[in-house]
Amino acid sequence: MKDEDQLDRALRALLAETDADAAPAVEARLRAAFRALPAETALPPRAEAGPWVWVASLAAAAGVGGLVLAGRAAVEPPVVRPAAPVVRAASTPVPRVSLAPAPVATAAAAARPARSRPRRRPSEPAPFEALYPGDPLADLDAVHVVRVSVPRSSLFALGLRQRPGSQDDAVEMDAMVGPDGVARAVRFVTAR
Amino acid sequence: VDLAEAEADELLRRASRGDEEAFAALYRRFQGPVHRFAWRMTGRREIAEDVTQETFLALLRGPTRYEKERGPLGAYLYGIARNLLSRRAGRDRPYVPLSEGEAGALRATDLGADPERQRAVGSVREAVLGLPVHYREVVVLCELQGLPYEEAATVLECPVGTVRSRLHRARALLAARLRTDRAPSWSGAKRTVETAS
Repeated sequence: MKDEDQLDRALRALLAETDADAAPAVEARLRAAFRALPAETALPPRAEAGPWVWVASLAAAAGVGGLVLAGRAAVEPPVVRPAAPVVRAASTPVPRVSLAPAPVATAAAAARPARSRPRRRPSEPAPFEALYPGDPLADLDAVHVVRVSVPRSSLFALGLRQRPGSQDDAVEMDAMVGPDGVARAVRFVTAR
Repeated sequence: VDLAEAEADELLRRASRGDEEAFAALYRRFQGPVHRFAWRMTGRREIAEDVTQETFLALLRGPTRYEKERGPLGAYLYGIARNLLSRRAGRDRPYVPLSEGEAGALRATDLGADPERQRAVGSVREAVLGLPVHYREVVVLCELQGLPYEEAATVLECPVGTVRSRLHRARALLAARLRTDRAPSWSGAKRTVETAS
């Protein structure tokens, strides 16, 4: 009994010692990740897909039925269809930004073909542009995104294209800083 | 469904549609338990912050993976954090924990702290961290996080009876360890902790 009481006291002391929230920086990083997330990954939960699920199901059923009928009626040798497209990395010049290693990413999720035209929220910022061409940003283990204000005249020195305009203005941008403290990519918050 | 759960589901629904403030509200509501769980499981706050961040990133990237029929959102987040901790267990081995002497020296610099209390907390912390993971999880979830057995069972994906029996065994191990710590040490004899399953 004495042991039990002492154990309870010790556990309560440990509880009080470790009773703290995460640092505010974690929320800031998550908010940045939220803004950087492509809109197509943020889908409504399955249960609330609504009547479109039924419409799509009926369309798919009709399509399958049509294929079966067409198969029966066919007298010519079957046409060899081209193989399914090979899933490969997007060929956009700017690598996709990963703020942290995807903790629950699965091979199936990685192999899922991307949508042809990703939707973008009106308020979504521009994609990150690598400051060093060929820099494998996706390999970074952890990055920080810092919002900075940069004189427009400095953009050229950073190797970034700019529209002609007053060189006195400042532009706001998010800088992606690697674990070594070096800025690796930027994205513009305000128009260049 | 209780009101808090319904509210959390609603926040998740809004967050999954691009509402940043809903996501932030969800984060503020659940980050504390997740962070403290990871901290108490590892004894390291920096790992706890990483795990907290990765847990919510996982939620952010796959909100549809959560199925409310399988349990409340809090339990789902605990489950993600638990998986992340399990993956880290192997990866973080290169980091060597401080020896007792080094840790003691660091604690001694905290002038405002009561040395006796610090010793007691250090002792129980080490005892908890020294438990096998399946015992440590029930101690942290039930004794430190205050989860009911049923919710702990949901997180750990095991029957409630298993939670009870593991907790009983874990408490016995902890009590034995603390008793050994309190006993005078003789000629530097090596202490061992019984870790029978």
